[in-house]
Amino acid sequence: MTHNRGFTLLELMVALGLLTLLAGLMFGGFRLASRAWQTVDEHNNELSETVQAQRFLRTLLARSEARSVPETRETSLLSFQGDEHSLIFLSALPLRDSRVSQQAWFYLALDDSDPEQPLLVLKTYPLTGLNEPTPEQPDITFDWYQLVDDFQRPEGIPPLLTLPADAFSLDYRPREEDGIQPDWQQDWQQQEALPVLVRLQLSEDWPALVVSPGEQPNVIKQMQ
Amino acid sequence: MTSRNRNGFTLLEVLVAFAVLTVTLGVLLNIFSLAIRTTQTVQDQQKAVLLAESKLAELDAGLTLRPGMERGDFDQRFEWETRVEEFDSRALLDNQSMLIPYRLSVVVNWDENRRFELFTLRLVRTEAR
Repeated sequence: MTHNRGFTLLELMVALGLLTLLAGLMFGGFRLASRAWQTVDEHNNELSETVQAQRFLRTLLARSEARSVPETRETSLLSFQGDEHSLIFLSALPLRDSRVSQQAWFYLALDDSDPEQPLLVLKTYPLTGLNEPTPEQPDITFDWYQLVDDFQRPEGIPPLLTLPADAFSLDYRPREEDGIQPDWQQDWQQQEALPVLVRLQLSEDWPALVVSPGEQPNVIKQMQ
Repeated sequence: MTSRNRNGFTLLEVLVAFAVLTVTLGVLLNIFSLAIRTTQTVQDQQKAVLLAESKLAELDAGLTLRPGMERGDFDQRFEWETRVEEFDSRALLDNQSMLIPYRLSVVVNWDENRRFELFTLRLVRTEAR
């Protein structure tokens, strides 16, 4: 008979209390876990985007070329012109599903037309008008200022890559002379050769990306 | 009476089942946190690779090498250490030339015991020493 008598109120209350406690623990754990997962996921996405972008920019800059560009107004220009906030260079654009790559112009700058969300933009433009002069067309038709203008106008050329960035600044280091290590400088214009190093600062909390542009042969070094 | 007993669970059984469920979930969440920690480690590793690449580009720039070791830090977590030292090539080849290989290495350290090393070799003309 004792088996059939049911529970006392006290037993029921204790059991209910225990159940509530366990359920509370469980749901608390779940909430914490889902929030942690979400944060990690967001962080991970952001980071892998930055990592990919840095890798891409590194390859692109490392393959940049030093070419003397004949220009309609001036005698010639180096195909690598940059200042503190933007850079135009000539590099090899990798083509999809192909081992060959095509020469193209690249423009890298910060687009802060939307102050809430500044973007780092990379634009590209095929290399044209740089053909050798032919008897039919003896003049070089390449217009540097037109190219710069096309790149700078927001509606000019659609960007190839955009990346959220709080800040963007560029520094260049000239080739060393007589064993003296030169300082970083903020622009690279009207120069004859590529800088030894380019430094890109993408955001405050991300350490700078340092690339040595151009195919630098493994030169034999000297001891200081 | 026996048929009545089989009809359902007692309160105690339900309680025990619930407790077991909670413990299992605890274990599951533990695995979950382990996964998160692994992701974090991978991210740090990726970042260290990028940092080391940048540092090595900086170390390799220019025409002269300064043998020795330098240290510094990228931010609060990541530290770097660069080494330029002669690379022992006697085991590899009989080096009669005037060129001596030097080893340029960058070590990125973080979180006490994590490290990533990137190195390359460059030749140095000995008469210039």
